[in-house]
Formats: sequence, structure tokens, C-alpha cells
Amino acid sequence: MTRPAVIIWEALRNAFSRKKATIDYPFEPGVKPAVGLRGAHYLDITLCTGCRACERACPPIAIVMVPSEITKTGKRPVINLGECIFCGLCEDACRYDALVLTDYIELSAFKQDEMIIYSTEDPSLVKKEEATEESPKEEES
Amino acid sequence: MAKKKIKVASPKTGCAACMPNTMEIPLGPQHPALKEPEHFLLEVEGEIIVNVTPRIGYVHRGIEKLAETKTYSQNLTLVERVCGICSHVHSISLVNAVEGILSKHDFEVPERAQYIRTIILELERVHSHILWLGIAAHEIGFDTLFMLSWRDRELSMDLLEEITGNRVNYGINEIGGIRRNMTKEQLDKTIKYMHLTIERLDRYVEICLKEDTIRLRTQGVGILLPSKAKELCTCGPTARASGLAVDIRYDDPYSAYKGALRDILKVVTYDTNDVFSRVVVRLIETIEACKYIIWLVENMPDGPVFAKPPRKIPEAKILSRTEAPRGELIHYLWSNNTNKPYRLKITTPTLANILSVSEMLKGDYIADSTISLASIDPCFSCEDRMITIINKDRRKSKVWTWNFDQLRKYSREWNAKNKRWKK
Repeated sequence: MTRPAVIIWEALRNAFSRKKATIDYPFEPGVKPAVGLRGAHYLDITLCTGCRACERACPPIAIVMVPSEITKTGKRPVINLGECIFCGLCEDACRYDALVLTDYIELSAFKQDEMIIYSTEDPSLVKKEEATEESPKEEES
Repeated sequence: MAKKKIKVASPKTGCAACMPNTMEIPLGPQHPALKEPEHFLLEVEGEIIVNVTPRIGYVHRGIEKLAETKTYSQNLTLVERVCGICSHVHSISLVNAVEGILSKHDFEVPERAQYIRTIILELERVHSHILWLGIAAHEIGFDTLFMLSWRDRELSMDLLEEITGNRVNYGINEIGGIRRNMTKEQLDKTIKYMHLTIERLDRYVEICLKEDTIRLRTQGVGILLPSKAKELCTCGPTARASGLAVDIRYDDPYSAYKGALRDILKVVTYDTNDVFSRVVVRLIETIEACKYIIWLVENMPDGPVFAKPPRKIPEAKILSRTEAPRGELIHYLWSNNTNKPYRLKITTPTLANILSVSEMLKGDYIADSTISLASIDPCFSCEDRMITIINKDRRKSKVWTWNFDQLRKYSREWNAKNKRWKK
């Protein structure tokens, strides 16, 4: 005589009396923790002094300093989100709160350049930098 | 690893009785049963496995060499990526090594930081063991349990995401403490979720003990006797399922296990030595881990969570052992009074357990080989981190037991002889 399967009760309860465990994600908002999620960076260039603390702290070398006219030292960070591991060490290293990790996590792009954060403040400046800085950078990588 | 050739009587007449009666079947490197590349050469006699030769080293990633180029706090994020599932235990191991060096120079880590580290360690053990239960259920063709157990794994995953900010590689450790404190709400939520998990796990223990689907596939399969387990230096749940009471948390306590937690710590063992006993050991261990988390949250001390360490780590050689979900994890660190390690050597539990697989598979059917393999909870990509020195004369294998001075002398002589390696 065989024993009735124990799991049948579990499966039946699951089919009829339980709520759905999954989310229809792209059409519904996903589940995020309220605070403390590490997502894409936000760089406030007016607060940045170009002290290179974030560059030194970054483990995968995703942050590179480029020349800039706005900051005090004449340099500012460029963040490559394609290489970033979202550890948040740059946020801890920044003494001026210029670099902050937001909770924006839907990062995907068709081109590699779209994953590089130049500045969220001044888009006209970005294009200038792109024209000058992009070409040597691509050769290096 | 030296391949052992089995002598087979050479067929001269070609009759059926003289034909070699063993066949070789390769399992891997690419195989549906394996999630990661690894090669096992099965020698079979009909349906029964006679001999197994594992071959490792397909996914060597050069993490140890990369660690020498980065600072200690950067290395914490690097060693976390050795393994995706047991990532926090790697950073704990490195942090313990560094803080062990610093403790001789009057540096102390706040107690609250140790407690929060241990909570995350145990949460990781919970989600790793439930993940293993799902995989084992999937290997024996019991997909209902796979779905159910992975749904309940989400509770501990959500907690980890909320406490640390990341879902997989947490990045919460820092030398001298942790980077985020736990709030009151998070502590309350942890207790609530852990009670829920215990409730669900009790149900799974009942299912695993009673359900025929599991018992018929696991009982009497993949037997590893205690004497053999001791001989092959197995560790973790694999050793405990063979009746050996080895647990680094109890034998060589670290982090918060040093304190009063050691009194309530239980080393879970089971004595049937087969895959079933590994299922039971892992499940009961998970329930125990939930209880430790509740205890840690209730007895959490107040205070700071971070103490600023010196930038340069004094010269020392230190070995730190931790109990990963899969067994004993070893980090050997050699510092040289800079902010970067001179040498870091990592030995993961799968490397210790992989030899026991060949012992488990002997005498079993081929169809049972996948669940026997999965029963050690293999993580092949973690283990591939070794240098093999092959003699020029390969026929004479040699075992070298040298001390450091002899090794240095040998390296100088070798460098003098082989001039092309000189700078």
C-alpha cells in the first residue's frame, strides 16, 4: 500500500487559497526596498571639487577623471555604469556629497556610451566633452 | 591531477568473455546535470559506476593575482565575487584575517558590528541551504518542492536586500566594522520573517522525511562512510552527514560565535551517510540558523558599528578559517606593511569535498550520479584557483615538503638556471 503524497495538500493549497507570488514586472512596478538600495549614480557637479577620492576608492576602475572647467581642481569624474559593481564605496569616499547612489536600477542600453554618466546638470557640456574625450578613451579600452 | 590507468585484459581472440567489460563515460565539462563546467570520467560496468576521476580547473579566473593589485577595502568587494551564493562569508574571512593582524596592535572591532555581520552570515546560510534544497529536488525530478522552497527563499533574500542594499553581493563589510547600521524596524522585521521561515521549514522537514518521492531517490544512494569521510578530509554538511562533528563555528569560533552564542550552538549530525542524511542535516541546520538569528537580534548590543582602521596593515602572515554554507573556507593572507596584500590564498570548501564525490559514486547507478554530485552542493567556479607544478620528467612524481627558507633557496637557484625568466 502506498502512502498518499504529503505534497498534494501543499500543492492544492497553493493553487486555490494562496495569493500570487510573482509580479508582472515590466507592466507593474517592481519591489524595491524603501531606503538604501544601490542604483545608478547622481553626480552634482556644482558640489564636486575634483578631489579624486571616488576614483581612488573605486574597485573596478569604473570612475575616470576628465578635465573640467567647473570644478576647483580642473577635473571631474566620469562614471562608466557598464563596469560599475554598485558597491557604494565612491559614495562613502565623497566628502562633499556630490556623488550619490540613487534607487534607479533599470539600467540597460543599446550602446556602451549610453551607460557612461557625464553630468546630469548640463547636457550641452556633455556633447563638448564627448567630442574631445571619447575618441582617445575608446582606443585605450 | 594524475590520471590513473586501470589495466584491462587485452582482447586477443575477440570473444565476448575476453572483451573489456568497463566503459568510460565522460560527464561534463558541458553537461545538463552540471551548472558549471567540470569533468568527471565515469568508468561503468553495465549500469554500475566502478571508478570516477574528477578533473578540475576549467574556470580559473585569476582572482588571487588581481587581489594583489587592490587595496584591502577594494579587495573586500573582489573576494565577495569569488562565489555568488556564499559571498558574505568570503569577505568575513578576509576581514577576520586583517583584523586579526590589527588586533595585535590594539585595534578592536565594535561588538555590534560583529553581531550584524553574524546575522548576515546566518541569513546567507539560510538562503543557500534553501537554494540547495530546491536544486536537489530538481535533480530528483520533484519540481513542486523546487518551486515552493525557492519562493520561501525570497523571505531571507528580501531581508538581505533591505539590510545591505544589494541582493547578491552585499558589500556591507569594511575593515573595522560594517558600513550600515540596522534600524529598529529592520530588527523587528528580521524576527518576523525568521519565524515565518522556521514555520515553512518545519513543513519541508516533514515532507522530506515522509515523502516517497524523496526517500526512494535518496536513501542508500551516494554512501560516504565516516572513516572514508575523515580520510578524504571532507568538511561542512558533507562531513556532518557522515557523522563527523566538525564545525568551524564551534571548533574555532570567530565573529559573534566567540561570545555567548557558542553555548546555544549545535553541531547537527546524522548517521545514515547517504544523500538523505545530507538533506536532513542541511534542513535542520537551516532551522538552527534561523534560531541563531533570532537570538542575535534579541541580544544585540548598542554602540558604534565602525572603528577607523590604520591605512597600512603591519607585516604578518595569518590564516583565517570560517564556516561557509558548504564547509570550511580558508583565507591565507600575507601583508607587507602597505595598503595592499602581498599574497592572498583562498581555499574553498568544494575543493575539499570534490574527492569524496568519486567515493560516493562508486557502486551506484549512472542515473543516481547527478543527485550524488549535487549532494555536496558543488560550486566549481569558486574552487578553481590553484597552481600545478609539473615536473619535466612526468613519470617520476615527487612530493615536496619544504619550509620557507628552502623554498626561497630553490627559487633563487631556479631563477639562476632559467635565464629567460629574469628581468
